[in-house]
Amino acid sequence: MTPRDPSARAVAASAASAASAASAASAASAGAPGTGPARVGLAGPADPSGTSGALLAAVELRKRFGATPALDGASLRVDAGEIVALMGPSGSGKSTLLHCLAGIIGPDAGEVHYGTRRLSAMSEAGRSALRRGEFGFVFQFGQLVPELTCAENVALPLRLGGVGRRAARERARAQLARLGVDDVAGKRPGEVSGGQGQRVAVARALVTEPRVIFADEPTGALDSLNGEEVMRLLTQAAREAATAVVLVTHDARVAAYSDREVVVRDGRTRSLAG
Amino acid sequence: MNAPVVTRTTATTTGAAAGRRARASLAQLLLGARLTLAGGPSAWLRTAMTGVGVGLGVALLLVAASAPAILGARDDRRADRDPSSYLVGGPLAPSDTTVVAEPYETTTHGQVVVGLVVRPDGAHPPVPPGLSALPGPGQMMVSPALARLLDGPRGALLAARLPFERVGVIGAAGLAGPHELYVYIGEPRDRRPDAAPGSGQGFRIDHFGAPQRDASVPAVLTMLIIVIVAVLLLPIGAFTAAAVRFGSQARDRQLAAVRLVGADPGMARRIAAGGALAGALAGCAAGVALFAAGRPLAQRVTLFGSGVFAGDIRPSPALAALVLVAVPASAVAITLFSLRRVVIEPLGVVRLAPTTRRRLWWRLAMPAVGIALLLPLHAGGEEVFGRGKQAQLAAGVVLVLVGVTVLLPWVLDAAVRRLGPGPLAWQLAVRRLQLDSATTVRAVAAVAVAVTGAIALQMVFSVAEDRFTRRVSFGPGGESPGVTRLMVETGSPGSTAADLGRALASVPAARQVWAWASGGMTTVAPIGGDQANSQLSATLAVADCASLRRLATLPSCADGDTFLAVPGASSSGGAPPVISPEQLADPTARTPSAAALPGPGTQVRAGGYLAGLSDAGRAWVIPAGAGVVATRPDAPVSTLVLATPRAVGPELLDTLVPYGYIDVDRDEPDAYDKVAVAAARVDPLAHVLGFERTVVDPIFGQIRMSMYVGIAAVLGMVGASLLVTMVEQLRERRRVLAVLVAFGARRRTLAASVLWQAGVPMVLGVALAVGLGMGLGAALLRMVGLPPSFDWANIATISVATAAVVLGTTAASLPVLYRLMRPDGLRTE
Repeated sequence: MTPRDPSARAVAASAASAASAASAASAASAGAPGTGPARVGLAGPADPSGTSGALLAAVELRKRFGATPALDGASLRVDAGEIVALMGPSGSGKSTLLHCLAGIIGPDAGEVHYGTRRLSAMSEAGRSALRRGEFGFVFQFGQLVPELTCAENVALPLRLGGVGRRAARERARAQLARLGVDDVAGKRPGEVSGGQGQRVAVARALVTEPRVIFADEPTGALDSLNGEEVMRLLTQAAREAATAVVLVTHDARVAAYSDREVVVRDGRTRSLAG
Repeated sequence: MNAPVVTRTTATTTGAAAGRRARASLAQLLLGARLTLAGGPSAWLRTAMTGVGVGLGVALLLVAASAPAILGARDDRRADRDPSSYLVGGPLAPSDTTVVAEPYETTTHGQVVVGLVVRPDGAHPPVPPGLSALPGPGQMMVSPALARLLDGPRGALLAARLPFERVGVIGAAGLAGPHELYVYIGEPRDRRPDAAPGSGQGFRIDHFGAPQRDASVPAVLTMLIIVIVAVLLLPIGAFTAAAVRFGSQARDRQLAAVRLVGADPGMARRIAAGGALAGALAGCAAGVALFAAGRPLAQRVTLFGSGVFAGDIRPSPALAALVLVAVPASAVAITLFSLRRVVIEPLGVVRLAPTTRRRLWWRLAMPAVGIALLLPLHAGGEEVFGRGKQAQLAAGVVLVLVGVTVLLPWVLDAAVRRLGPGPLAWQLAVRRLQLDSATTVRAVAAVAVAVTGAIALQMVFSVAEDRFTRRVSFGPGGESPGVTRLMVETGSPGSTAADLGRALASVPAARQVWAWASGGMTTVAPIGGDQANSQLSATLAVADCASLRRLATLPSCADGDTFLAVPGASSSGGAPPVISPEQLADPTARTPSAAALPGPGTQVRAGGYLAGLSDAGRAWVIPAGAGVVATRPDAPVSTLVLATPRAVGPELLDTLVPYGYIDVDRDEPDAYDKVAVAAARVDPLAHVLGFERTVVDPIFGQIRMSMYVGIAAVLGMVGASLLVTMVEQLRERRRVLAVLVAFGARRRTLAASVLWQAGVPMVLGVALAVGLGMGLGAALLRMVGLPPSFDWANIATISVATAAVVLGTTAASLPVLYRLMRPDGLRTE
């Protein structure tokens, strides 16, 4: 599978429609894939709140870090099974938007909806539980716990969710095998290559069968070949499982794996229909 | 001819090359220091953490370097005010420049108040340090701490027996420490209206200041001092070593970058050492600042009833210089040593440590050699260690204690390798320890050294205590259970025994009271006609028949009777002999081995307390009708001459002083204070003494107090340094923590993992320390010829206290953990 491959879009569309009727609406609003130059539009459908039928939606998010504004009215909707790339220069606020969408930080103003739930109305414990059960994460670096083996790292979210040690280990091994890195299961992160480590991280993000994966520069620390391989595995596994992906990147080649690209600039969002 | 030239040239070339290398090394060290200081807020924070960790150590080392000055100054001031100059030279005649000084001691709420009662003979008496003039009759001068006590809510019971006019405060020059309870009392004029000067218990002196004292210290005490110094200094060293390695992960990234721009591995190590040097220098500055700031505060602290004047905390210049040079130098050495097994590559640092098994043999060899050095040492009795033996002892102790720090990593490695999986928090902690236990080991090693030393010292102290403390008793005992017996001794012949009896009987919870007019007697004729010495002395107790019946079983009694009281037949050892004048005069007579009483008809000189020892006593003849009677088993005295007032006559009676004993309920709160207040009504300067009390050898007492203070200080530093170490460790893991939070990790999971991570090494460290501490203690006891004895309660107390410190500081680091669990750690831009 290659980026912008129409067949990939077809898989995405079918997976999305299988998961949620809303995804079809999203695909329609985002425009047909690979048809001409990118169009700048709204970061979601015409619905004013942007939340109706969406799996995940951010409405008019504002967030400051001290005197620095990170988000200044950013809005976004993500449908079930949809892969959305957040693009933008360094410091544009795309990681902050991802953290707000995942409930890791709360916005100063605006709302984040996950299905029918409002994240700002949930307690920290509730948001943690949500992240444990429904979300997965892949980061650029430093994400694997160095003292745990790769298999234990993959089993970690399961164990955080209360799955028994044995069952967690078996599911972790299966996930590693699916991503072709079962040979490093017993090794520590420091003993594997960057590409292998990132595949382990993808396996960890997928192991709980989440409904959304948040990936923050997942290939940022990899060479292009390894980066392509990780993106292929991530998007393929996500589409197979009808898992939505919110992908933060500043690399157009990585963004090309998405269904839709959203540009974040100065804390505001603009959709790029590709 | 050319050869020497060539050699010289080579030598010059080699010398120049060595000089260049040294300059290059220095430049690399400086570059490392500059990189640290120019590394932005994160590097500054790292340097600051190192500074705090090293600073705590340096401050304590400076306090240790001040110990000689602290102890010396205390001793000097004590000696300067000491009235024992009467011990040298002959007795002084009263003159314009003499004073009679009598020790004063009382206890209030368990605190001992000491001082001197002074009675100048003339207008120009000597003045002790800290006073501008002696207090006049009925006046007193008190130490600031005593003034606070008297004015405070707990001072009433003491003020009642110090009813003197307060005319001043004793200056620091006259006090051992800022919290000392000391008093100078001008003897009231009416206290001894007819006492001949010098007839009391005071000493006549013409200057204050102790005569030269014997400064030789028995081997056991030398041993204790050496062990204490080693036990206190090694943890400080271990913690300082741990602190210079703070932020090693960040440093490793920096080194990889340095390698990338062309530095070779050796240069990279020296640059790393330069970074550590910057931290150590910051630590030295922080330590000096902390020391300077803490000095005035130290005066306010009371530890185990003792305190130190800020002015006494002066580090010895040589030791202070040593600390300030050795700390940065060891920072460089430790960094170079710790990086020897680390390969620094341009694209990252590859550690070799986790794959290398730690070797056991040399780790075991260290304590083994230490014990081997200790075993041949023997110092029975009062033997004094020579310098050679002192060095051997110090080397042995240091090797055993350092053995703890080198054995612990191996023990921890071996133990955590075998630890199985468990709950997630446990798994995170165990895996962390399996990957890299070095940081934790360094922190726990210092604790383990302190525990090892504390246990060994505790063992020696509990056994040595018997040798250096003695129970002083004032009579044959006989008090019933649940009762405390106190002795009351007055110096006021103006009052009568009956006054004292009534005063004591008024004490609440008094069970039994004895009171009489007390004095001493000495035979006029020496034993066996020996003119030089060997007079027979005895105690005289004069009271009415009712009072005498409480002391002995009398067949009949009327005023005018005299009795010779000896222990009854039931008492073991047989009654002491009663020696008749004829037996006394027999030229073959010898001084009896047991206390003996002069028999009827013996001519004696008798009088006020101790007066019988001088010519001041009055002549008296023990009446011919004096019969031998048995003292009562519960009486506080056993062998003495009992007389009714008419038997001694008013003249002799006037010189005797009221004297007594009282039994009070043991449960009575402040019994001592209440008895002392009652006795003060008869004589404000009455001595009230516990029937039994413990007298501690002063050097032993000072060593023991130093150990308590030192171990408390080290444990405090252990706590503070552990906290800094924990916080630094957490800070290095902020990214991993943030990722775990993103995954929805619960606070309690991560908190439990941090506690396990500290708890497992702590348990292993304490277990090792208990084992080695007991071994060291047994070896030290064997050295002084004593069998090993293990006080499990003490060992448990020390272990639990240490565990509490470790777990307490770990718990104190949890707020930092929670703060680091915020998602800020995920931000990379």
